[in-house]
Amino acid sequence: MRHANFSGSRQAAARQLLAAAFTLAIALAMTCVLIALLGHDPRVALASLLGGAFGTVGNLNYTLYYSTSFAFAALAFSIPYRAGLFNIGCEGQAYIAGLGITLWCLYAAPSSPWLMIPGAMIAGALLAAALAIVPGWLHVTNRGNIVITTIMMNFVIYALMTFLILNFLIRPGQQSPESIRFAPSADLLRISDILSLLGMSVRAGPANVMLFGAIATAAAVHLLNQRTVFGFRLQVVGLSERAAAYAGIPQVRYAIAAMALSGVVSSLLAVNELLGVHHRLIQDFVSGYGFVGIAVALMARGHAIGILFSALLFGALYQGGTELSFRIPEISREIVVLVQGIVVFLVGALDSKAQALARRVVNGLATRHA
Amino acid sequence: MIVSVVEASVRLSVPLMLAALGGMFSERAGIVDFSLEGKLLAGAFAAAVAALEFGSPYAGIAAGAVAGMLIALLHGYAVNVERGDHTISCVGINFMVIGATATIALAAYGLGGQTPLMDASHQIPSLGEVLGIGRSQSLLGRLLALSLIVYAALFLVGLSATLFATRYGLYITASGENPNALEAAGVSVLLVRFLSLAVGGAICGIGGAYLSIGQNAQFVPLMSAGKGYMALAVLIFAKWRPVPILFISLGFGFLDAMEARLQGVPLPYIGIMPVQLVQALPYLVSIVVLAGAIGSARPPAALGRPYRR
Repeated sequence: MRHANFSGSRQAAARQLLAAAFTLAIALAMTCVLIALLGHDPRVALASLLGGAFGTVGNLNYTLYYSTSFAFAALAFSIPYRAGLFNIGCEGQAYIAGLGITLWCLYAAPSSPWLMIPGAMIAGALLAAALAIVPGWLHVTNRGNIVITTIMMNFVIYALMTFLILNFLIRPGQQSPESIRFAPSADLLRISDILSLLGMSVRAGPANVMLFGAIATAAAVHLLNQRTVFGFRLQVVGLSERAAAYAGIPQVRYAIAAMALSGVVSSLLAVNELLGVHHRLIQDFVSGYGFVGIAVALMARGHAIGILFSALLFGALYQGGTELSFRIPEISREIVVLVQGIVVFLVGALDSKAQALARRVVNGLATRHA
Repeated sequence: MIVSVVEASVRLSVPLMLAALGGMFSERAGIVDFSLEGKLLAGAFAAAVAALEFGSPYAGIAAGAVAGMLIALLHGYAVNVERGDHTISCVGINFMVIGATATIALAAYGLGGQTPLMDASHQIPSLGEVLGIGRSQSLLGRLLALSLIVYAALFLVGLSATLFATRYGLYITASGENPNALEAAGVSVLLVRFLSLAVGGAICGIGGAYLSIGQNAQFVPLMSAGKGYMALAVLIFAKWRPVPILFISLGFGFLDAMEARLQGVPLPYIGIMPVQLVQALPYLVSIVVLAGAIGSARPPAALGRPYRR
């Protein structure tokens, strides 16, 4: 498995950035071709995509909200990926975290937000981490490939959550599959609330303090990767199992730790959705965001700070895509999944090409400056 | 009762059997194949569209096979030519197929991503219908009422088992176990891998066609529902061999058949099983089956390794 190799040099950074830009450009170009083939003007489509993502403060708010969830999903994917574990179970891990959050908010329900919110976060993180370590352990002990087990677990969790919501957690006397509203003490501060406290009046939107949470988490993961023994050892395990074994790094323990951390970060996605936006448990609230995270992380080559930018990009794509399918109903929202797939495929398949191209451009610029 | 359960098990096992068999061709040649899910879905979509547009189930089956093959070749290009990461390529392909099928279906038919319901004449016929023999309740009659694809799947399992006993099967095995030895013997590893991928892709695509124009009468987004990944569990548990694939798929088919029967039926000591538990059963069993294959399942030695001449 190839890994992000982010040496400190500026040229290397420029190369990574350029390679990512090429990937994105190719993905967008291919999507434009498809839109044209379907009989629509790709320029109109792109314009409504951009307008939908950044056109108004309200739209920007939604873009930031989606970006927050995507950043958490991508960071969750990136941690075990460093150790060579392809965890595609963020979807199920975030969903089960929603159960922990909901149980805490409905049944423990302390009145003070200072107990309510951290308690909910811990409850969610514990469940998600517990779920995540199982496929990690199975994988490193050769009891089942992590790609298969995490996908299977996603399906099991969907079924379990549907069962629990329909039979126990659903608001009595109601048809739609959702719980009652959590107590207001569980509500996270929204960006629009903060702005109005500062005297600016903007329309309320879903983006909330978890946006800063995502930035802080990215910084923490970056430090973990770059500045700690743990992060270094994780990468050794991913780059060469034999080297790790020779260096006496306990591979099983590191894989489990990486998966547990991944679960904890996944649970923050659920915090953003449930405490930040919906304030109740909703069936299928993760709705594919965990999968978007894979594309976001791969596009950033697993680099934690890069993930923030790539999450913003995918957030814009997602919100813009919603607007686009609203403007042109014949274009499905699922076209975003196509772009996501193209990006993942390009990174997996053509990465060496993009890197080589980027190297040529960077070297060309460097010699011109010299 | 027993006959109808067996019947249902056979019917439900076919998509898994074909997908696992297709995956066997990729993995025995040394290519990791998580893209079975995408191949099934693409095969299902292409088959539904072709059956509708050309008014013939055979056009549908052919289109399904071609779609599966094209995806296999795309994956092959990524991993053989560009030496990309096998897993990432597959995950990307699966997303692409989910997005592309839903987008094209909505733009073409406007039914929220589904294709229109087709009439029975566009669906894959049973063997009896092809031979012009009417239905009857006798055992022979029931056998003849099984879909053509059921027989095609059994035939393909037999054919693959035979193939792997020949020199060409040995080429495929060598390409997955020790590609350098194969190259030294004067056979192109690249050619073997691409051909094996193409054959496997076509088989898996036919499995997809069975989903949309055999079991159902339309394409529905995400209708593969993880069967491609489940097929991989089958493949691993079958130790990458065709005949065990047949029996393990039948086992999964049986589980699926019981799922339909258990819903809403009170069981002794347990009571009525929740629908969702019954639905989750095949996925749980896949995990358990994989964990149970420990020690006995040894993947091809060169599986997932980039090959350089």
